[in-house]
Amino acid sequence: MRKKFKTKWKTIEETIAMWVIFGLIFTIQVLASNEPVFNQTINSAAFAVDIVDENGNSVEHPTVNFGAVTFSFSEQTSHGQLGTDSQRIRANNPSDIETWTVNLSGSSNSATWTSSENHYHFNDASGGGYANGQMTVDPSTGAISGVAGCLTDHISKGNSESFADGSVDSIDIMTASTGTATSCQWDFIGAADNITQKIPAGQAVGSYSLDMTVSIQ
Amino acid sequence: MKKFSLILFLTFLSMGFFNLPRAQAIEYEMLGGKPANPDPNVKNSESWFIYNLAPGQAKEDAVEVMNLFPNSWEALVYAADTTKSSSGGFALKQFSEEKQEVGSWVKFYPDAPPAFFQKIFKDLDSKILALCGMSQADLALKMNQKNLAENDLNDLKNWCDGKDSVKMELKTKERITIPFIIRVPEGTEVGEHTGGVLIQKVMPDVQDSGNGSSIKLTTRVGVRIYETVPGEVVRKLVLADFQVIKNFKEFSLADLFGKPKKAQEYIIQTTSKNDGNISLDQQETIHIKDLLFKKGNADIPRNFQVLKQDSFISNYSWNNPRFGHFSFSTEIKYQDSEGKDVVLTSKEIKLWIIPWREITVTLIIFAVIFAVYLLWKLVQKKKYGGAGWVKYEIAPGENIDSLAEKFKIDWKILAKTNKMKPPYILQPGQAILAPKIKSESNTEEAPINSVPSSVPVDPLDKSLAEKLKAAEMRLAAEHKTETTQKTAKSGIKKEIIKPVAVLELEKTDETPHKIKEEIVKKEDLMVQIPPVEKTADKSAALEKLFSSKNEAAEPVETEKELSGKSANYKKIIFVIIGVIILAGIVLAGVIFFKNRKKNNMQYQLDLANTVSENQQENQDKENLPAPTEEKKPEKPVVVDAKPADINILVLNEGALPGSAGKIKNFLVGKGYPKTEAKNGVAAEIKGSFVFYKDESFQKEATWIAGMLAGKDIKAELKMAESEEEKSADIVIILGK
Repeated sequence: MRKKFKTKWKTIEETIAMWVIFGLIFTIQVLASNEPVFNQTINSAAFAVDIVDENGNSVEHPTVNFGAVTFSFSEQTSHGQLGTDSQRIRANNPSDIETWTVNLSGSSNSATWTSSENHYHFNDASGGGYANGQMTVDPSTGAISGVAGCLTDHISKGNSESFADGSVDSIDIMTASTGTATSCQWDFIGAADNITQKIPAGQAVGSYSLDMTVSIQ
Repeated sequence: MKKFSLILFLTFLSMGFFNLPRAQAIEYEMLGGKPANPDPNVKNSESWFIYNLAPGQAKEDAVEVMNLFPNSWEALVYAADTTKSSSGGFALKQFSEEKQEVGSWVKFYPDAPPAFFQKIFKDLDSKILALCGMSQADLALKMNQKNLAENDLNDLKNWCDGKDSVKMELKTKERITIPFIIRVPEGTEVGEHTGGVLIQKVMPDVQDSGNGSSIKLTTRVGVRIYETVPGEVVRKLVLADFQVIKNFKEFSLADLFGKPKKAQEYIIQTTSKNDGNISLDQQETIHIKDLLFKKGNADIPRNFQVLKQDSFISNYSWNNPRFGHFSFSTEIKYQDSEGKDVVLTSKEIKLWIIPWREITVTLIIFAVIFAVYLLWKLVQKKKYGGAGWVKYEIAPGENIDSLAEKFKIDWKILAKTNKMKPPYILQPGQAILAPKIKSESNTEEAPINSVPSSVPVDPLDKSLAEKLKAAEMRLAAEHKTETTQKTAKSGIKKEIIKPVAVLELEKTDETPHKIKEEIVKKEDLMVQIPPVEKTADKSAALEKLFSSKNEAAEPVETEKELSGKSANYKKIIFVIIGVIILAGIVLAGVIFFKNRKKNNMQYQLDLANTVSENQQENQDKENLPAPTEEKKPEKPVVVDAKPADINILVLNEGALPGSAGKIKNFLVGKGYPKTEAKNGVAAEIKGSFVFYKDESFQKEATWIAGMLAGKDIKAELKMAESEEEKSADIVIILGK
């Protein structure tokens, strides 16, 4: 009987010892490590915006894919989604400033959709014509969610707008106003088809690409 | 001892868990930057560059660029002007775009000065302005040289010119400070000038996958620059628009097709315009009143910054209830140039929120239930109505089970059709309705001890016809015809026969029963027979009934069946009509909501700008660089006229006849009641114009021009000059 009790106690001891070892290792790591497992504590950082996946990991080559369209002699549209589950726009504000804006713009006003030697515009509001092309972004249909419980109060989604060279060069996605939580992160996930690109009539067949920039300031 | 050890272990364990949250609280990867030398006396200077430099002045500062990613990144650092953003948010131009303002005032100095001057630079506490500001003679003196070499001076000059941008590789967790100088050119306008220093990720080139078109995204962080040139500061804000927009489709099926469900929300949208020369903080309060239940009242504070000479649109997502009557209004408060609080108030928007979707779904459910009920009734009628059944006389020894077995039907159907009640006792000689028996050849026969009643006997069934003929021959004298009715239209005589004749069939082994010929309808059964005289021989009538194959081939229906079928048809028609009406309602609802969505519920408002005269103490100017001097403007601030008070004249000078009248009606409907329409002096001019008498009408004229553009009338906005153009506050000329 006594032997049995002793064996049992020994088992408990071993279990506790194992847990304690884990606990100690864990504590030491947390207190001493600067390794990315726990990341370092940042005393003074800055605003940042990034494209991240569901787990918050930075996406190396973020893209917005558009549905394929068939060559046509008529003007047509193609749709994409800015801010998906796997490529969400994450705004970071580690500062005490409550006011910030995330917006989307072309890499320049003269940027074009390009495939080899074929081009068309993303910000031509003139309407009609073979070189015409215009992109409309509708952030209002998306959703803003706070990371790790950050409140989304006082953060406003942008309106549906079309790029127009010289008048609308940048489209607001999120705008934070006074009262917004600080030292927080927020994700923007757009609704399906929240980007529409008008493709000019008779546009040559090809896989086009356009460089765009997501900014926070 | 062991217990002590256990407690000790648990303590250590707890320490581990208590330390966990602290380690995870602040962590993220980023590439960004911030001011390297924040001034503790200037609010927000830890995140933004805030200056008050006079024209010609320069300031040395630095930006701290950091890479907190676990891998190295190439970063591009540059300065840029602000640009027009869709909702009026702070936005900065791109690297490749031309710099005209703040972006061009900033020069970077990532490298040390030429080696020859590094000692002086060190002596000058690494002050760029000090080094670059030294004359050639001073430099020579400092260097203890009589003359400096031309090359050295050129190197220094090149270095002092600075760089427009810096491209650098940042290792993981690396922070680099890049000095820069901002120099405000002579002649720069008084007021605020904005721009920013940007830190942009340089994305490595990726080969196109060839799988369709795509946008390649890169990210950048902008550190704002607010430079306010001291002088006369104008602070003027206008509440340009206030709307409540339904931001979802009532009948969207997106979620049924796997698409993300859109938030069911209303957008409360306020547009404000900064007509001043510095950014303004607007303190907005949206008032929501629950007019029905008084429970959903809310005052929502929202504060934004509106850049100078820019419009700002704030969207508040209101997660509305599904039903109610609400009113919406907003107030915007800001401080004018004199430090007085100015309050701009919108008119009230009242809105009913009706759960159309739920109502429609409920109606559809009711319609489906009703349709199912009707269908069930029809089935029941067919099942238990006894259609096609004949009267059967119970023989001794028969009960409901044996009858069910005999007629090969469920006893419940038999009982229900005959409205029997438990315990379902049947008496010999009792008459009930029973189905015809199916023969082996799958043709129906009347029950063995019955005669046809409501449904014609299959004339092809020769055996039955023969039997009936034989029976007819032996019709007893008691054969009586009680009632004869004539049908005027068909000319067919309908003879209702009450317990009539007893037909004695030829006895066979299988059918030893007597049958009564009775025709069933409700209590009395009816058979249609060719017209015969009342005294006519029944046998002749029956013979006529069964003798002609062609005649008999056509079903002869009883009144019961006719009326039953007619009723069924009516019900089916009613159901179809009901479904069509419901479909119409649903379609009308969908069209209605589509139209509402299209119009975006754009409640055009007359915006009343109420100026509060109550002077209050100046509040902290949060988020704004404080202007050094705020002088009272020389010109009085223009007070915009109210739409209801504006005299508008619409002149037709070449447009289609009636155009002016249509525009007049349109404007009256938009809240400009003092609008008149007539033909202009000129018979025909090219293009359309909106003339405003003075600045106080400019805002409304701009607004009207915008509304006309929405009606495909591109009108040019101009200040009135001629007498005709000044004949009203706003004159609209519709040309060819």
